Amino acid sequence: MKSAATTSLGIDIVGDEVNAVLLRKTRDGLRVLGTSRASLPEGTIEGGRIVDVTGLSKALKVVRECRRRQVHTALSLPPSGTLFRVVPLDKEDPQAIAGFIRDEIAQYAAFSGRKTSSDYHVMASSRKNASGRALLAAADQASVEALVRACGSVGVGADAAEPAVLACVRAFQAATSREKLGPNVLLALLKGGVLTVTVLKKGTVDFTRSRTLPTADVASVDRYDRLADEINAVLQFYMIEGMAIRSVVVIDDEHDLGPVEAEESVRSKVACEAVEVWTRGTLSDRVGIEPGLSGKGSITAFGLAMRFLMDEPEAVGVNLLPKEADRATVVQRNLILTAIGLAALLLAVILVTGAVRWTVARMQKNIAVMRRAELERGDQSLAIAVVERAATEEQIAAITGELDCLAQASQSHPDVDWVQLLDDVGAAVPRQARLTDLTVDGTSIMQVEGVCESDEAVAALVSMLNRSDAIAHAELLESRRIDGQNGAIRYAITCTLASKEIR
Amino acid sequence: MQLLNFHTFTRRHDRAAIGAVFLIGVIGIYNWVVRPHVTLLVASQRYEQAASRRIETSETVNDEVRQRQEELEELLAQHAAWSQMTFDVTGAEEFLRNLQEPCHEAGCRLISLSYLPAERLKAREVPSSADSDDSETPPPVTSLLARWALITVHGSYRSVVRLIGILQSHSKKVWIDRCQMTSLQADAENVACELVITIYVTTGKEMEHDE
Repeated sequence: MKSAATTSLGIDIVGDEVNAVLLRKTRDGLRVLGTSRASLPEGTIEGGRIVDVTGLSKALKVVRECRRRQVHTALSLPPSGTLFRVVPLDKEDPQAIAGFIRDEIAQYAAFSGRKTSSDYHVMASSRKNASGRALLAAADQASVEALVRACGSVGVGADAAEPAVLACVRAFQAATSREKLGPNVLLALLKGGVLTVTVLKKGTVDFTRSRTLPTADVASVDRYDRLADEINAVLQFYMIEGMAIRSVVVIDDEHDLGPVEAEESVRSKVACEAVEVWTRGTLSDRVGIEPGLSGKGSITAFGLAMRFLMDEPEAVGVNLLPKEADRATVVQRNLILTAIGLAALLLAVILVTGAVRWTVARMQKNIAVMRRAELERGDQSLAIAVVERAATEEQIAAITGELDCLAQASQSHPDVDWVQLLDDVGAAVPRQARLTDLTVDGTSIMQVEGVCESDEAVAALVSMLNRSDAIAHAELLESRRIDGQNGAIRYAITCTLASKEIR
Repeated sequence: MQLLNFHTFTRRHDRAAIGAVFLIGVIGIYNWVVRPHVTLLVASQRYEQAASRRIETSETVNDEVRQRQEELEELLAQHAAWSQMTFDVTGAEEFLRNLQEPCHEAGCRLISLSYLPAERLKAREVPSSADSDDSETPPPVTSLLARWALITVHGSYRSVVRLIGILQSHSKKVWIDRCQMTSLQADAENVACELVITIYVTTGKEMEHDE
């Protein structure tokens, strides 16, 4: 099965230092993207247990150099506080195996009275009817949680925790000279003052044993003499068992470069054909990575980082990270994502509501501007204006009616300048004539009747009337003699009066 | 550190919990924040439209009112000019009661004076609209009252002309509707003159029922 991860971070905690390696899997192989190393303050780790989380957190800040988003992270605890064993199994039921493992762990005095975090990996036997074995790992749960918390404080999420030796086995499996070394190899890991001897039988962990080395000078050749003795004891045991181990690989994960005489000392004292000594400085030559660790990082950190880059994850084995911690991390991450989602939603809502409020305020401002303009024009409110319009129209109708009535009344009367008319009539009557009747009756016609002595006088009267400005036209209606040929003449004249403009 | 016991949770539980929180959040935000704001926005838009329409209508009506008021002022000015020609009630009574004074002033002798019944003038009938069934509505009554007087005087022709001149020179308009002069048989120097005069009186409309 292919691993989906392409980048992975390994953090290795030892008694006095923290190492980290950021690794990427490329088409050409593994590539070291970054390494870092920090010293741990005195008293941070005591007896293989993490006692000062704050100090560890401060030291882990250096890991930020290697931090990336969406990176799987594997951790290792100090070897002196980690139990790693291969135990035989005579049970097949998973629940019975879990109970057996718990009992096995309970036998170790180092964990007495403490909660432990443990995991195991059942290895099937290659032979039929042979009992199976289990790879067992355990550590102080408080230390694991402290490590997870410290990593979390610097923004690094933990995905797995495992013993350092398992990481080194993984690093060895990437070695270029693995084929040359044969199927059975003895690995001796020197780390944190603990020597862990592991026998790989056809690539599978067959045996493992840890010994705490005396706290003498870690650079002295004496440590390698002690190491050689331990290796020889295991080789002898396997020789008695009938299995020849032809290759020994010593992994010195304490030094960038080991003591000059160390390799020669080991070669001379270990009873084996092929002996290799790996140090941090020579790791790149052994496993073919580019670039090397360049003075930072460790072989264990490199192996840890490889955990999520392997194509066969079932070979990885155990994970000391409590399920609760893993779940808590996932839930915490989900909660954070939910909170971020809600916050984003809230922000969007705030922006949208802000826009709505701004729009509403703009509308109200527009309305206020329109109202102000209405007031500035001196306009009344609509209701008052409508009432006033009705009242004005009523007034107009009433006054128009009266004016019409007055005009009608004015036109119904004769438009005559009476004084001028009567003066003109009086002046027009000659001496020989007399006026007996003068009538103007509601029209513009005036009837004049009278008597005179001669027709000439009547003609003169008509002529004089026609000259008057107040008379438009005067016409003789009748003229007849009253009493015989020498009598007076009675006349009747009708006059059309000239109109006068009334103001 | 006592970690939460999340190991019984599955991914499905996680998704359900997150979905529930999200759903509750979305519903809460919609109910308490989004919906009131959307309602406010819609109401504001309707209010703005209504206010715009109201202000436009108000502007139009106010313009009409101004236009009508100008028209009314012109009509009032015309009415005031016409009012110069009409008597008020008191002035009319005084004028008609004291008609013998101008007669004496003109040198005429007042023979008879009679008053004809007054008549309230009515405005011209406005043609009613086709759909109006109120066809028997009387024309609107005005505040104008027409009053007539029949005067018979004896005097010389000059005196009669002077009397007519005095009547017409009154500050208010006095119309002479009929003038008939007849020479007297017994007195050739004098004439008998019948005058029908008309005056218009402006009254309050409240008096229309009294007439």
